[in-house]
Parts: sequence; C-alpha cells; structure tokens
Amino acid sequence: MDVTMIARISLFMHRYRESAIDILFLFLLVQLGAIIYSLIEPDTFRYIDSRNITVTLKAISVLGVMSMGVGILMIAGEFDLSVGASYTLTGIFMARQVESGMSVYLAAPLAILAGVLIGLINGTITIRFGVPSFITTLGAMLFWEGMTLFYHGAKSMRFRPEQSFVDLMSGQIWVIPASFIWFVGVTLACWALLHHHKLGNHFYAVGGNKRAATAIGINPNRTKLIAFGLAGASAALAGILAATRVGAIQPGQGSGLELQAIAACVIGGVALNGGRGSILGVFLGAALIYTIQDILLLARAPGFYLDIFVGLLIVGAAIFNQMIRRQQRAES
Amino acid sequence: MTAAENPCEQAAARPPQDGVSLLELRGICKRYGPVEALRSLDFQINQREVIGLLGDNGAGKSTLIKMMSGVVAPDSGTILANGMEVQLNSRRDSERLGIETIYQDTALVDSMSVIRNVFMGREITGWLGFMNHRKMREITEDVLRSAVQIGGIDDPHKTVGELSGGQKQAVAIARAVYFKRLILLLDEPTSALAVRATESLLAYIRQLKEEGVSSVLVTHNLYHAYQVCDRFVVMSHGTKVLDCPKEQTSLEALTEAVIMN
Amino acid sequence: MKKLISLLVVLSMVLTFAVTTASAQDDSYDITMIIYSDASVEFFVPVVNGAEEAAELWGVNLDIQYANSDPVMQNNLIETATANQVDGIAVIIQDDDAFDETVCAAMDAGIPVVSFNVDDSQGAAGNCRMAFMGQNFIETGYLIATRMIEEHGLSEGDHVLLSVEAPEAVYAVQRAEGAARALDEAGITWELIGTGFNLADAQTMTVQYLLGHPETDAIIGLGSVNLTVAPAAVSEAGMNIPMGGFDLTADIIAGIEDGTITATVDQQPYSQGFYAITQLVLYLKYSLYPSDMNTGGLGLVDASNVASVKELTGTIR
Repeated sequence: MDVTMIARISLFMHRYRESAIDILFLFLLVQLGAIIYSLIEPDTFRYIDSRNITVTLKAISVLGVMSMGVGILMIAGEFDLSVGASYTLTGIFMARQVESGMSVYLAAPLAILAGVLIGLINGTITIRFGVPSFITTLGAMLFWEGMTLFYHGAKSMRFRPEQSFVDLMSGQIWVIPASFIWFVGVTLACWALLHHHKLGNHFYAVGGNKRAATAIGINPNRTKLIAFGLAGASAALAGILAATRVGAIQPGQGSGLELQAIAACVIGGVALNGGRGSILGVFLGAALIYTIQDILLLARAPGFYLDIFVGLLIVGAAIFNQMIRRQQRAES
Repeated sequence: MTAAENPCEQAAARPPQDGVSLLELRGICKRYGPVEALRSLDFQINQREVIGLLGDNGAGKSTLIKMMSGVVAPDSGTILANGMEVQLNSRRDSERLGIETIYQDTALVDSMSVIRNVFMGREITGWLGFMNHRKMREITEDVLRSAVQIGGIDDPHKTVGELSGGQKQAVAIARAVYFKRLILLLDEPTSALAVRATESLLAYIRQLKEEGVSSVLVTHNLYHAYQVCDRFVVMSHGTKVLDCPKEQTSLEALTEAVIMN
Repeated sequence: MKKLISLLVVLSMVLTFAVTTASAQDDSYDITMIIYSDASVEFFVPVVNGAEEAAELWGVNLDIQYANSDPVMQNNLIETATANQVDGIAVIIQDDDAFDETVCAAMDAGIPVVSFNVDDSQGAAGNCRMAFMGQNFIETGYLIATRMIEEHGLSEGDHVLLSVEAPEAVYAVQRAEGAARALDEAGITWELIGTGFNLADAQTMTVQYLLGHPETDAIIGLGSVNLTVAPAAVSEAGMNIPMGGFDLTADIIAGIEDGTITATVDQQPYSQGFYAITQLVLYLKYSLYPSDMNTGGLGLVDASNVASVKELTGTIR
C-alpha cells in the first residue's frame, strides 16, 4: 500500500465522514478480528457458530429498531426518553387485547398506533409549551411507567398469539431470525426517508439550524412532530418483536433501553444537538454494542465488563466525532 | 428634511410608467414592545428597478425586509401586490408573490451539503416526494458556476460548515438567484465577499433588471449602492427620510442623508 | 485516519486482554450460572459463594451472568451460552413462559440445565430443566404465617401486611399463596404490596402503608429486602407490631437478636448455588441424573438458633 493509496483512502473517508464511514471501518475490523479468532480457536470461541449468529442478530434487532426512531428524532434536534416505557406499555396493551380475544393482526397495528400517539403527545407538549424535549420525555417516561402498573399491575403478562404471527415476528430463515429481517426492513425504510426523501432533508434542516429552516419556509413544528411520531412507532415495534420472542412481557422490562438507544446513536455518529447523523451509523452503533456483548459472553468475561466497554465506546465515539467536527471547522 | 423641502419626494410620488407597482407598502407600523421599529412607512417597488435601501443601524431596514419576506406582519397599514391588497403571513405567501430573499445571516445549515442547502424546503422531488439528487446536483453546479462565480466550491457535496464566510454567502446568493422570480431582496449580501465576487454580484443584479427582476439592496456600502441602484430610499428611526432617483441625487447627498439622521 | 487507527489499537488490545484473561484453555467443565436480577442484590451473594466453592472443589470454570431483571436479556444469555456449547447451565426460572423455549433448546443441544432459587410454577411440567434446587415457597409461606399467628395470638378480624419486592415473580406469588392460606384459615385480612429491590424505596413504601393503615397488626416480609427494612419502617411509623418473613441478611439477624423479628425462613441460598453446580458436575462425570432439592427444609431461624447462624450471614447464609 503506497502513499497515493493511503491518500486516496483518506480522501474517500474524509468525503464520506458524515455517512459513518469511520464506524463502518471499526465495525468491520471488530468482526474480522472475531471471525479470525473464531477460526483459530473453534472450540473455545464459537463466534461463527450458527446458533451464536442467530442469538446475536436477535439481540441487535430489538435495540436496533428502537434506535432508528430515536436517531431520526435526535437528528431533528429532539430527544425521547420515554421510548423504553412506551415499548413495555404498548406491548402489554397488545397482549391484553389478544388475551380478550382480539386478533393479533389487529392488536399489533393498534399497539403501533398507541406508540405513535404517545410520541405525538410528547411532541405536542414540547412544542406547544416550549419545554425542552429531554424534560418532557423524562416526565413522560415516569408517567407511562406508572400508567403501566396502573393499567395492568405488577405481574407478568403472557403473550401467546397465533402461530403464524409468531413465525412472522420471531421465526427463522436459515440462521437469520425474522426480527433481524424486520430490523433491516425498518433500516432501509428509514434510510430512504432520511437520506432520499424531502422530509429527511427537513429533519436535518430543523435539527441543524432551526432558524434557517424556518426562514426558508419549512414548518419546524410539523417536521418535529412527525419525528416524534416515528420514535413512538419504532418503540412499539421493538416491543412487539421482544414480546413475540419471549412470549411474555414484564412491566419495567424496558427500563434502561432508552439510554442504550441513545448510546447506539451516539456511537454511530448522531450529534446530541441535532443536524448530524446517518442511518448506517445508527445501524452499526446498535450492532456494535451487541457484537461486543457477544464477544465478551463467548469469552466468558464477567458481566460488568460489558458496561465498562459500552461506556468507553460511547465516550470514545463522542470524542472522535467532536475531533472530526473541530477539524472541519478549522478547515473552513 | 420635510416633504416640501425634498424635491425627490415629488418625483417618487409620480406613478410608475406601467401604472401599478409590483409591491407597495402604505402606512406600515410595527412595534416591538416600547420600540417603534417602523413608523408610518411608505415603500414601493416597481418593475425593472433596483432600489438601494440605506440608513444607519436600527433604522428599520431589516424589519422592512422581513416584512416583505413574510417573516413578520405589520401592526397596521396595508400591503399591495400589483394593486391588490395581500397578507404576507409566511414565507410561502411571499414566495407565491415571487419574492426571494438573501438573509443577512445566510440562513444556511452548516451540517448539510451545499446541494441540500440550496434546495432546503424546495427540494426537487419525483415520485412520492423522493428527491431527485442528480437534478439537484446539476442545477447547483450550474448556478454556482454561472451566477456567482466564486471559486473554491469545487464539490457541491461539501458541507456548508466547511466553507469560508464568502463562500457561504455565495451559496445563499446562488440559492436566491435560482429561485427568484419577480423581486429579489438582498440584506447585506456583500459584507463577506471579496472584491471580485462583489463586482460579479453587482453586475448580476444589473443583468437581472434587464431580465425583469427588481431588487432591493440593503447595504452600508454607499459606493456599491451608487453603482447599481436606480433609486435610493434612506430610512431613519423607522421611517423614510429620503426617496430619490439616482439622477436627482449624488453620493455626497446620500452620505449626508444617512449620517445626519 | 491516524485517530481511527489509534482507536482500533486500543480497542483490540483491551478486547484481547478480556478474552485471554477470561477464557481458560483446559479440560475442566465450563458452567454458566444465570441470575435474573442485577449484581447488587445482596440475597444472591451466598448463592454465588456456594456455586464458587463447588466450582473450586470440582475444578469447574464458572461464569456468573446477571440479567438485570430483563427477560429479553436473560434469553440472550441462555442462548449465547447454548451457542457457546458450555457444559452446563444453572438458571433461575422466575417466569412461567419466558424461558421455556430457550431452556428446551439448550437441553436439545445436549446441555444439561438445572434451575435454582425460583422455579416454573408448574415445575417439571412447565419447563425442560432437569431439576430444581430451592425451597417449596408455598409450604414455607404457610409455615411462617402459622408461626406468626400462633406466637402473637393473631385472630379473626386482625390485619396483616404482606410485602414483597417483585409481586409478579413466581417466588412472590408462591410465598404469598402459602401465607394467605394460613391467614384466610384464621379469618385474618391481609394486603400485598410490591416495593422493588431498592432498600430505601421499600422502607418508604412500607412506612407509607403503615401510616395509611394503622390497624395493621403484623408484617410478614415475603422477601429479604422487605424483612430487612420492616423494623426500621415500623419504628418510623411509630408502631409496635411483630414481624416475620423470609431470607437472611445481617439486618434480619440483628432484628431476631433484639426481638423485633420473630422468625425468618431460610432457603439456604448457599446450598442452592452449591448443589446446582455439584449436581451438574455429577451428571457430566457419572451421568447421575440431577434431583430436586427442597433447600432449607422446614427450618425457621429464630431466637433459639440465631447465634449459630449469625457468624455465617452474608457469606454462607
């Protein structure tokens, strides 16, 4: 590899920085390392074992679906901390409807609608009263957690829908679990929306410079409200995937997931103050967290290693993205 | 200076050749709390003319521009377009009348590319609202090359945050130039531009006049204004103190009008 | 570019370190123990101690993982252990349905699975696990309630507070069922509240309940957290009522010594951990089929035997 090659690669990465090329490189290298080690020590490090691939993909999917909505909302300049509570509540709502006889094919879309509604409420309060979304959704998180206990009590809720639905949401094709296919589908849809639709351009505009977007004639309130709705929908879909996989929903099970989703977005290059980020980055951020968890579990490292690692990864990624931004500004 | 003393006022009071102004503001008042930003202001834009809007800081020039862009609404007074009364309550309203604005703070988003900034809010879409990237890129490259002739923006995919101040202004100008239809409002467009780029822009404004686009140029640089404008309006403390065609005034008189008020 | 490379170097160094320190390259058995709560819950310390001592005796590579009370995470842990083809899995089944599939998949893959501490409420009929080591909570619930009724002369018309950490979990449901039966038989009213695993929150909620229900005549704490905070809560509420319940902590021992706590059921968590590992090893070595164990039997810890128990609390008991 000579100097011109390195220069060309540098230029390529420089040009596509905003589209998460760095995190892709990091991800591919981690995968490569794990695969190579797995080939060297197949009996102690079963990374490429088909069962391991399946469980890792399953784990990535739930967080990944939720992170998509959270990421788009962050790019539009707002937060939603209530996605974990919404994930649990909409799941329990759906399970209760199914238990009382409703077809799951009606209950599941209703659950997603409920998620959208919760998101829109968050958005309306944030916009109408000028409360920072961080605060609104922090309150919403506690509110909906409480409402879950009020609506259902503290017991676990069984979820046993028709087998066709279980196959659809949690079946498997070869080693690929259905939930991962859903995750990829959601990713592609979000990619088309964010990077190729005019609404996506509006998300970046209101998140990057709300004043400029307003001056040019974009309606920032309507744009943000749509983003809030998307975050709510993705939380509900994640809840449906999790509930189908486990066959039960426990109140309080979504707690902490919202922070993990934000972590996945930050690792993937989404800026905390909006306007920057990519769908690929969010996808890779979620994948990276669970890839590292899988590597640690296969290596039989104690559980707290994972927290330490993800913590380092988040801060490392944030510092890295800051450095890029500072470099960009210095160049101008 | 009163209306009687100012010979130019009478000249401006004559109706324009074509009969009716493109845009006319009558008796406009706008108050921000205790401050009267605009007091009983009359302002006209006619076809094929370039107006220089002058005045010291705080005179109300920016408020007037914002009013014509539809960003702020007057407390009282009327706005007429082609003789018919209109309400300018949003950017879309003024856009519909063919008014395009170059803002003082450029109204660009640093984290987005040049192309996306140019087409922000007015993306060229195909089926179901999906953007036509290729067309947008072609148009952007074209406009950057022809209209503004600012060097250094070789890649329209670059993010605006990476550009220099002058380049950013060039992008804002390019955007307005592409979308302009009847009236172009320029709020301090040359403040960050280098000399050659400024000449280029002024020449372009003159050219636009021939093509049927009128402009209102807000600037502190009286020399630039004198080169390109047909008529000068000097504002002070929210109202008009001078409204003179170029033939009836001079650079010195304008300078004095701005400083004295 | 430079920064990316340096980030990668650091990451790979740290990962290599983690991998090499954690994985052993010998012929001893690899067993994974999965605890459903997070690592800060005091109750499981003796469980882990028992498991670790057994692991040392038998030369087992023991891996302890915590599921943070999230059934999705717990399933990930079970499935990853299965994919990792460990030699044995010991897991807590705190939900009747959530783990059926993954445990059966592990068994089908040839990995023996035993459960400890909490079991499927339908036992072997509800889950593929080979055996359960833990206590019969219904029986002991009945036992402690009966003891409280007899010792303190509780009778018809009295009211008892049953407090527990996680009312939806199987252990809570079973302990409450046993206690409730004894209370119902005596015509005593009762109410169940859930307080979570946080000591401060549990104490606050218990105090608030007592203040709102001054007619309460006794407290039966169905979990270690609840019985631990009961004496302080009762005193804070300005009341003087008898308490009893489940499990052992240093505070509960102190309560028995100074007389505020009447008695506690000890499920001997150390045995649960110890025998879970031991039975898996015996199966792996000699194909001896693991059997159910009722750890703790029907023994209560009270003033008569607290002294012998005291020294070992927190580590063994």
